[in-house]
Amino acid sequence: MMNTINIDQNYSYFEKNRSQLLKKYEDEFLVIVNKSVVGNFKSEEKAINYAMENFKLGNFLIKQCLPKKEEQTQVFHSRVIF
Amino acid sequence: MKIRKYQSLTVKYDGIPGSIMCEVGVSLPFNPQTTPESQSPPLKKYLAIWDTGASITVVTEKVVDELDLKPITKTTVRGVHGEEERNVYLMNLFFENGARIFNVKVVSCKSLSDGGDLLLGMDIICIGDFSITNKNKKTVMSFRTPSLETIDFVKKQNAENLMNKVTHKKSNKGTKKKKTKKEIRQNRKKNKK
Repeated sequence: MMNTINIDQNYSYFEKNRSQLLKKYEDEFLVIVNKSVVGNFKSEEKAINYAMENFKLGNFLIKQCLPKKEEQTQVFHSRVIF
Repeated sequence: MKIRKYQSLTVKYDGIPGSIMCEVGVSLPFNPQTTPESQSPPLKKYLAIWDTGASITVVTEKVVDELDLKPITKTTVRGVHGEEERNVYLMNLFFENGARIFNVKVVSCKSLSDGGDLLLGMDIICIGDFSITNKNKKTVMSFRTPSLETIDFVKKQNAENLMNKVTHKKSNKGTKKKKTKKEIRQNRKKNKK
């Protein structure tokens, strides 16, 4: 059975290796499992479908490979308490 | 995000509500093409608020825990309390009228200040046409997917004004005001001079 590395660890892997990954996969949607890239796709839908078909929910991270400053921030003007 | 063919939903109120709410079904994500209905994950009902001030859909931690949603990524969120990184989850959404939206990406929050379990944000609102009308002080919200037309009140008003002008001119044609005897006399005097 595959070891489950949670989302925080996969996310840390992405952040640590962002500059290297950018050289190879800029703009692409990456599927990261156990701290390695197991798939790269042009669309998020394809990345989600691939990850859902091949891995258990919670065992993978999907991340668009972009420079930090180009990442989108989600905005909430009211109601939400984080 | 996959959407079933054309669907619409209307919520009517007897007065003017503080927010537009409706009940929605939520489940873990699944692909309806590969998952038979008998094997699809259970659906739970929650109270959702339609919110144009939210850029994406939000669920409270209560929903995450109850459905055991699993994060697929992280994103930066900015609210009234500042910026922070939050988990992003996938889920399927079911509306009362049968409309279903698959693989909706949502972020979680501790709670919503005005109650409710979910905020349906601009990611949902912008996949269709969304209207709020308040005739006779009774609010009606209607939503349909996909988008089918543009509603432009200014354009409609301008067209109506133009129509009124044309009708007014037509109705005035041939009904020139008759000159009074005094005006006729004055005109005659002018002509003699």
